[in-house]
Amino acid sequence: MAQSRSGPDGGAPARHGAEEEEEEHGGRGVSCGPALSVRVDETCGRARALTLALPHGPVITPVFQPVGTKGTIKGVTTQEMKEAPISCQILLGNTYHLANQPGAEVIRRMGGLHKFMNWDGNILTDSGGFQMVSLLRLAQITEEGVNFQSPSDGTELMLTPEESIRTQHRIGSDIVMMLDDVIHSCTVDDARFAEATDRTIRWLDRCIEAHKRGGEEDERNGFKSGPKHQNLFAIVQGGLDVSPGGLRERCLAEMAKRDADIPGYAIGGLAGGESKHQFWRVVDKCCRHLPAHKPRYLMGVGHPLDIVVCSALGVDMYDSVFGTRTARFGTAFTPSGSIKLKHAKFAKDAGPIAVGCPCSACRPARAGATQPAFSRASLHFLLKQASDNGVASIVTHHNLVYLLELVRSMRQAILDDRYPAFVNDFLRKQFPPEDSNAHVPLWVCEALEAAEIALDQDLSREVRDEGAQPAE
Amino acid sequence: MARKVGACVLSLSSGRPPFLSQQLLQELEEEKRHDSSGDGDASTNASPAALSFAADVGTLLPGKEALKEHSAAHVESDMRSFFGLSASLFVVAQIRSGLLAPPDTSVAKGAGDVVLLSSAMERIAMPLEEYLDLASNVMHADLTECPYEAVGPGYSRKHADRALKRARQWTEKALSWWNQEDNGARSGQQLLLPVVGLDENAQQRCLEDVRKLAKEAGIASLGGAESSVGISLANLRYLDADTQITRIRKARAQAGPDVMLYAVMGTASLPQLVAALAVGANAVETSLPYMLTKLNTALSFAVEAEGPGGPLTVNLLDTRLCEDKAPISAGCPCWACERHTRGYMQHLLSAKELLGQMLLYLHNASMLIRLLEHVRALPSEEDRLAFARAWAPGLSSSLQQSETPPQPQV
Repeated sequence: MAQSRSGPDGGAPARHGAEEEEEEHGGRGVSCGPALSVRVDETCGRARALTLALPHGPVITPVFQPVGTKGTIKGVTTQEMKEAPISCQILLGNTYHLANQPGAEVIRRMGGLHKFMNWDGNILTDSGGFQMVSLLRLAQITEEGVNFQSPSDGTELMLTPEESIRTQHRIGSDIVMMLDDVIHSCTVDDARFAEATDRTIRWLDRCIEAHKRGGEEDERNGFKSGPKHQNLFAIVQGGLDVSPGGLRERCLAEMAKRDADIPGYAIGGLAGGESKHQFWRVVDKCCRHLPAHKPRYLMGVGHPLDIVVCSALGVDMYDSVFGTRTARFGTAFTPSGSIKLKHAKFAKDAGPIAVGCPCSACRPARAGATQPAFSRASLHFLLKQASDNGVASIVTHHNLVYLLELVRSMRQAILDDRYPAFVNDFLRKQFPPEDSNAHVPLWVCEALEAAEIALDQDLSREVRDEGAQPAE
Repeated sequence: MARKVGACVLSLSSGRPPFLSQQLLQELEEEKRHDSSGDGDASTNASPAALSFAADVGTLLPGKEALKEHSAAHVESDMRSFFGLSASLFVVAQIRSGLLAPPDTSVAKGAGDVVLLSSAMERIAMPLEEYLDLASNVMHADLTECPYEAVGPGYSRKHADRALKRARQWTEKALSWWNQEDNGARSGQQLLLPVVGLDENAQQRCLEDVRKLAKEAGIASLGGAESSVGISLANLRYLDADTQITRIRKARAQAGPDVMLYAVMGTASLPQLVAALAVGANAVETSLPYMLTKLNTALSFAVEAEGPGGPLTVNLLDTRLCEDKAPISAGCPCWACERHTRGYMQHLLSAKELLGQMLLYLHNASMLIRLLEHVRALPSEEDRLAFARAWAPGLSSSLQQSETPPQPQV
């Protein structure tokens, strides 16, 4: 059962989690562990609308989790994250970066990451393993853990499954990720993939033990961690092998044996440059085998098209820096695809980034006004000028609103039992049939076929170009 | 005028306040409005000062065409709505970056041409009238600074004389344009006429010229809230602190109590800004919050009549603050201090996170505005000078009670 906790200001306990959730929805979910209960609100085909009752409040799915790498979403305040129109319920922190700066122990002494950054919503932290591999050339993975050179002083450090869990306990996140053996999805070494899959399972056992043993309850500053207050998610590995009896199935079968100790699952090892044909098949395989009553988190995926398709296959949770990072360079999401605001064609475009978008850029600056607070022309100008004029925050806000509104509208479509129609509408805007250069990619068609979602006649073309991108 | 200039005018960064997101700008504006409404306005029956920013027209030039189209397409639209700024924001139009470049005669072909420097460091010459049209009719600036040439102690006498001559020429032309139908004077805007003297005598002569030209242009008095012109004390930033304050004081004495006196203070220190208001400036333009933020430094003091009683700033990169749960400045009611600790700020700034600069600028701007509004609102010159002496002990010689009787209009 989810717990109520005091807010970051140390004031009266906020009404959070299952208690509030039950009041709002009139029903208790299935307990997946002491700190998480899950209710399946509705399904539409394989797409799911869940409510996760977590220690810092309910999270409705499908959900996109913005990435706050170092204890902040870049350029956006926690208040903006919490309030409409973003209305974020869960965000992500990177254990590796936080452990480096300011340090997990500092965060613990400051009352945990929630208090430190003044965020009373939920937080998910990754294990730190991904950064070990992606950022550090000198990382070496052994059975004990990941051996790497400290970026600050060059000394050798060892990140073990136990240390990763201990660090995440100090951070105090609501969802803790296991340390997995991460390898690049495009690696051409079957033996290494097999080793990584088996090691990931062994490390899961060590993470489960460390999680059970760890944690603390500091009544003085309200800091609580450990299995009663945090949820350990497992990460399914197995490369791109979706063959019967292959690595993904092997990993899924082993994890199923440990299901009692696993509140939720992540699909790992993707978003690393593999082809979309391989990508969706792995997602499809994992979703078919994962337990129905537990959340499924697709790590590192946050492109709107991927989110819409993978939710059709049964994924519940996403995260990616894509939307926020590209925003800082002037790329904005719209229902008809992303646009590069620095492009000269926007220099005199008086329209909003996206008509009807409620973000701080697109909505009118004041009541009664019809023009957007920022036209494409003004954003074009600001992006071309000095970088300290706040424009990065404005476009970031827009992209976050777009992504969170997208997943909320997906959820509503699932609740209304019209997800196939939603998918068709979404694709029609991204790939207008009247545009001869815009085709729904083949992988999307195949994935939706696997999800038993039929494409409308005008979207089904004979010529399907996999490389086709949403129209600008 | 519908809006009243704040005691502290901050620089815009290409059309927007530096670092601030839309939300934080609104928070700063809300806080300013709240402070003003509770700061004795009932007794003076004056409208509260608006959050005030100075926009360098040069940095806006790349967006000139879009800005013009925007202004023409929407009723009551101007640079505020183009840049997502509140309609109540007070805007001063100026040419600041152009002054950084030495005059380039190959570009500025005639005395009527002003040279602006775009943010891409491109020099752009335009007739004075076009600059005024941009500032007044496109940007709808509340105050428009008439251009002037940079001149300071390091400059030759010849250069200084040319600056004086050009200031006179531009002032004459600007006044003529300003008084034409549909231009600034008819729209309730104010034109700031530059006083650019190299020394006290030259300043005095320049001010006399300005008064004379204004009179010839049919403006009987430079003073009064309804006056369409005021005075900009340009080039102060080239002077040492004591001379700056003395110059402002002399200008106030010479101009009389009702003239709008706008002091361009650049990177002047906090004590200098306090002193400038104490001796008679109506508003000081400063980039101090921006500079401090770039240096990861926060203003931290309490506004006490007997002086700050300690250091005015704190370096937030100091690792000793990493577990400090106190706000940036104790007692500060700003949005950042109400929500975040020094420890978190230390982390954000040392990690070079964008949010760190956003919150720090908000805090610095908020504290500086509150302090300077407080100084300006003190009831008498005696009170202001006493306050300034406590806050700027290094400037005490130029802050002694003197013969300057006139009071600036607040």
